[in-house]
Amino acid sequence: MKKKILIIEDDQGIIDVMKIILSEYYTVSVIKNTDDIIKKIAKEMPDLIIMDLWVPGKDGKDLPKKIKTNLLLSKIPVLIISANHNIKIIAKSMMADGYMSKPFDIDQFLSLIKSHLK
Amino acid sequence: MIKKAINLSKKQVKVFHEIAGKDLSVIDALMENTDAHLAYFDSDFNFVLVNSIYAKGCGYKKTELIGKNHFDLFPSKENQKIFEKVRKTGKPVKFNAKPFIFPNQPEKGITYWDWSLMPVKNENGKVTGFAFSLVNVTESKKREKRLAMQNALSKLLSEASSLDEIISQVLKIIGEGLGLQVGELWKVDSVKNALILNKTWYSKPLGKSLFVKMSLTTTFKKGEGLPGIVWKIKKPYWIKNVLNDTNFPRKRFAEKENLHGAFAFPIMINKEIFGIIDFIGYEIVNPNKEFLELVSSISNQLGQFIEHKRSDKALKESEKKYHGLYDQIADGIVRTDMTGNILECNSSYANMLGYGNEEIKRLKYQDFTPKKWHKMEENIVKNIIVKKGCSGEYEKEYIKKDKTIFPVALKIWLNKNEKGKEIGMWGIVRDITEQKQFDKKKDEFINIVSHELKTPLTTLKAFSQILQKHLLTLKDEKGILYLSKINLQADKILSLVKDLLDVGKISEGKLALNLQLTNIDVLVDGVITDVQTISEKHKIIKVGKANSNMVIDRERISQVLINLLTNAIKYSPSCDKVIVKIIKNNKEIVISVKDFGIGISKTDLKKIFERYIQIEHKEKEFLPSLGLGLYISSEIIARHNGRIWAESRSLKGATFYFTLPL
Repeated sequence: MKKKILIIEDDQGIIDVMKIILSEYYTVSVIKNTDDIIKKIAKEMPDLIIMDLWVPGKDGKDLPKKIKTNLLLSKIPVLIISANHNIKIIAKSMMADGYMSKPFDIDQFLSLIKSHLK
Repeated sequence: MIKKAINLSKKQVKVFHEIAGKDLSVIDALMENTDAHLAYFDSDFNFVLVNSIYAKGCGYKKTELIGKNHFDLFPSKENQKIFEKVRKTGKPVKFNAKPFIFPNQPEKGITYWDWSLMPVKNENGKVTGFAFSLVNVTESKKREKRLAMQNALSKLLSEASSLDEIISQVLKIIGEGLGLQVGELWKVDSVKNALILNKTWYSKPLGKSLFVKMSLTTTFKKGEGLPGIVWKIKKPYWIKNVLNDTNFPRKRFAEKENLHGAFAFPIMINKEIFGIIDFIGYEIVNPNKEFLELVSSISNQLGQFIEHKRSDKALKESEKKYHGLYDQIADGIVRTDMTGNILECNSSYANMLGYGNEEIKRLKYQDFTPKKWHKMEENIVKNIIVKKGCSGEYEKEYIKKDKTIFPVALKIWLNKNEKGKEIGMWGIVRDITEQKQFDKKKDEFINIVSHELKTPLTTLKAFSQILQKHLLTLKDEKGILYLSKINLQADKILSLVKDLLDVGKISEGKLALNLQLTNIDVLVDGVITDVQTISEKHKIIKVGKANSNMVIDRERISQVLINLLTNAIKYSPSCDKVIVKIIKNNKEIVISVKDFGIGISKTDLKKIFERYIQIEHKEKEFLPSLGLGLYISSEIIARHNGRIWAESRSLKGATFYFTLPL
């Protein structure tokens, strides 16, 4: 069975691209807003989460950290994508498992996901 | 017959009779053997006996005086009244230092005499004669008066605030003190280029004199008259007797008033003449040492007084001006001792903190600095302020009286006394709350821009990559070609956005370097490979090797090399090669990128590393760029302590060099 990837992103363009790239190998679901996000993630229980740090909504602050410190969700790999130059430092402080800066190369993106789903 | 003398004892009379008999030579001997002026008058004030000194003093022979009336010879209403009173009352009279001017010898000036007039009475108590003695105390009296004058002058100057308000008094004090008749202050009129009378004093007798009236309209050119001479020589000068002098224009009027002697002196301020004071009197001037010293001392005293008052005034005005500035200035200025106690500050400083000017002096700066800054500041004081004299600008926070915290930027200097000992510190403090807010907004803006621009670019590039793969499966060569063109443009936009964000970071000093040990050859090879894949026309040739590992920011140095390579390719469109050369010497690695294209003119060469500079070439269409690449590259190299420069000539290609120190 295909693994499930949850994308937390509000930009339709990025959502479309990711769906196209990932659908071939994975099941993809999307959440566009961070209201009640922890509940929503718990409902989905994905195998991997890809998120943008700038998604609108009430509970978006330090979301990767929130997920990684949640008893139920802590084992899910969290990858963040960002346009910020200091992405490496931010990823570390957010306790994310990996990061991708924008714009990204498709092949590199796929191999990063693959490595975290092993 | 010798009449009975009331004051002599019976025995004295008897002895006298025995010795002298009718011989008056005893009396004569007594009268001649003294410095006093002695005379004996009858009851009508005729001379009966007189000594030589008296006669000489009046300018007469003894014989000329005997039998003559004293007041016929020396009329004096005042003295006559005194004599008559003594005759009437039978009481003797004495005066101490009574002034007297010889009517026919005014050139002697005022003289001073100790007077003693004693009546001689017969048995009936009627006054039959007068014994008169005069002692000349002029010298000691003059000395006394001079001293009094100097004291009065000093006192006057110590209490006055300007010369103008006291000049009349000054002239009077000196004039009366020295027994003179006229005192004048002359000042230079720059328009007429002559001395004109500024102030005048005169003794009573000269009140209505023509001399004084004339002086009001008199002017003196340099060298003309007594004031004119002093103006020329800038030193005191005197004329013994103006009646004999050729350079005293007011001679005629002086003669009428029996004026003889005159002297004048300059008042100097910083070697410039402020004015000239002159005095004229009855007496012929005899410039002895004492007199000259006196004149010099008065001259100096007045000069110094004016100088002192002027610098006082200038100082007060300057103080006022600077104090106004000190208080108006928006930045806070504060002075403390070495432990931090506030000694003084301007209003801006006190207001910034919400304290009153006096209130704040009871505090130390540590009292309103949050604890977290204390250690850092102690370090700065100990290691930078004390050792180098100035802290350079640094930031911290202050706590206002109402407990709110705000950010400040400050610069502190060490305060030393004349002996070089450190006695405290003073500093300028600025409230940077607004600046910080602005910076924060700017940062947020850059973040937003970065995100907003990069997001659609990400989608663009991703889809073009997807499309590329799709077209490959379809074997659509044209489609693939067109797509690569689109991709190239997307990369250009991305590159420009990155440059813009970099410039923003540079201007804020936030270009952070991520330093890692890097193999230079590997880095250069990698860049050349990447750039080569996108340049079909140009072959990039590598010459030389670095054989070095250096601590550098890989991404940023790659950025520089990419920038130089893409420039080389862009500015040599009709050429087919670009040469990258690496040279290593014992202090640095030098990397150069050489192209054979349109080159750079001499004028452009000076500006190419500046911000926003674009090169226009007449023969080529305008080559687009934001003009930022070289500016950013130069900043990156500078942050690595290297150098970057270019050598070129128009139409002969260009070589760009940069160094990295070992």
